[in-house]
Amino acid sequence: MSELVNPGAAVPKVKGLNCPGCGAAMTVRSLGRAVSIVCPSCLRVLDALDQNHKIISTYEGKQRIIPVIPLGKRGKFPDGEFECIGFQERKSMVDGTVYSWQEYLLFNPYKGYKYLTLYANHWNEVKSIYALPKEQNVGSKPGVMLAGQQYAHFQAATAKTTYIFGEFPWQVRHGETAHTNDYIAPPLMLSSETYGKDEITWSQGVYRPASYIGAAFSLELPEATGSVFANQPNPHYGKPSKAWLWYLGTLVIMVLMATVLVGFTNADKVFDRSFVIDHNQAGDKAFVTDTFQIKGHGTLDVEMRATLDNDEAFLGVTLINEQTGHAWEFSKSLSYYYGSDEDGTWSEGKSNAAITLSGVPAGTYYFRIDPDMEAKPEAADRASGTNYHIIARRGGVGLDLFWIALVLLIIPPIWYSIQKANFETRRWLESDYGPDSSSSDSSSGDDD
Amino acid sequence: MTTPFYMLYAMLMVGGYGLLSYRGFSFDKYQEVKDVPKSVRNNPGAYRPHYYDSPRYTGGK
Repeated sequence: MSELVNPGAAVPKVKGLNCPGCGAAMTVRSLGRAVSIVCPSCLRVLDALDQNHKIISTYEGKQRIIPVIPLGKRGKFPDGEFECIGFQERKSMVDGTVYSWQEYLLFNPYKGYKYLTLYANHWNEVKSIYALPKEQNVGSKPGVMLAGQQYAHFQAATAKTTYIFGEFPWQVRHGETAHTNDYIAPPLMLSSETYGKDEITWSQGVYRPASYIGAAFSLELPEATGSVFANQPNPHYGKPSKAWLWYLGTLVIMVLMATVLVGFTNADKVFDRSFVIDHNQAGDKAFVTDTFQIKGHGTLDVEMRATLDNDEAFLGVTLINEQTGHAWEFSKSLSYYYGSDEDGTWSEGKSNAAITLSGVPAGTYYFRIDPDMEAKPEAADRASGTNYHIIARRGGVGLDLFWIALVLLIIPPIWYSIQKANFETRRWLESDYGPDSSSSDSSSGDDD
Repeated sequence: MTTPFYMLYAMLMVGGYGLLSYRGFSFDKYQEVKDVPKSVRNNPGAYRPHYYDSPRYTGGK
């Protein structure tokens, strides 16, 4: 499509002329290199190499397109200042859907040409290449290899030029068609365009965010949202692998910690006593136990069991540190009922309960126990006393927290992996390899 | 972006796991009270604990 300007060659000149078709004034910015010029007024394509600028093709459509980057606008890129000198809109039809995109031809008298393509606010900065990529499959997809970089085939289409103006270093025509193949290695894209049977040109594009192009041309351009372009870099690229590495590292630390914590835990029984609720005792039944020692630091598991026979008991318990007065207060209602009816035997309730107290430091402790049972005048057969049992153990470090922590830790890597895969799925949905893609065949787009 | 976020997240998980494992962790409901008077030992009936509500079973089929 174009080549770099020989630094030693003469710098193209700017020249004014009039369209032989409509007489409108025209400016040729790359005189000496332009092959085709399009009248901005009537859109006739003129032969720039012909002294009389004979008309090559005419525009039959009525629609006028206003380019995002005006012709004559200069943009500052890292490789120099380029002027927008040509514009074309091209269309292709894939699976019954017409896709149209814009191409801007940029020119620098010392650097040559490059192109910007625009589709749905996705920009690519494109340059022609002269090396011939080698065919090489990428995974299960056909692809090409260029300069050590593999490019996977993305889409084949027939592109039709539907709107042009400006000037071009090749002969452009309204309605010209080319068979295109796009290969991607985000953010890069290789595209081949085949004209006729023999003429094949290759170009290499780099995905550019709209802000990059906007900054170059001092334009406010909307960013692409909602769609994923063929060679758009995956914003989640690299995140899953890093997160999985962190997960594995953290997993090792967690396993070591769990080994130490579980291995050195002290799960001794510190209290084990039986008591009786005296039903003949009137008034307050609260009492305190003897003191007992708790060593280490951590949880204390307290288990309460009562001997109940169609009855219930309420145990109010306070664990009190004798020295500091720090107390843990809890209550449990125990009940156990059973019987039989027309449905058979039944039972309800539990005669035992347990509670885990956290952050119980070493020290001397005692229990204040406040047992209570509902008076049951009809329960003549109720024993004079109800036995209950309280056992306290220094809680061991269980693995519950370990598993909870592992589940919480694995969420981000999974989330990043899903995000990355979802982006790639959306990318390939638009390709010849998407689930709804019938084939890689396509037909040209419609005229305006 | 991933590394700092996940690094902080992972450190929080590891630190939280270590702290909770050391201190102990419980989903159970109970009340912690500071400075229970020493007189409880001599007069346990006079102390009024702050139990969480533990509904008494009123069942039986």
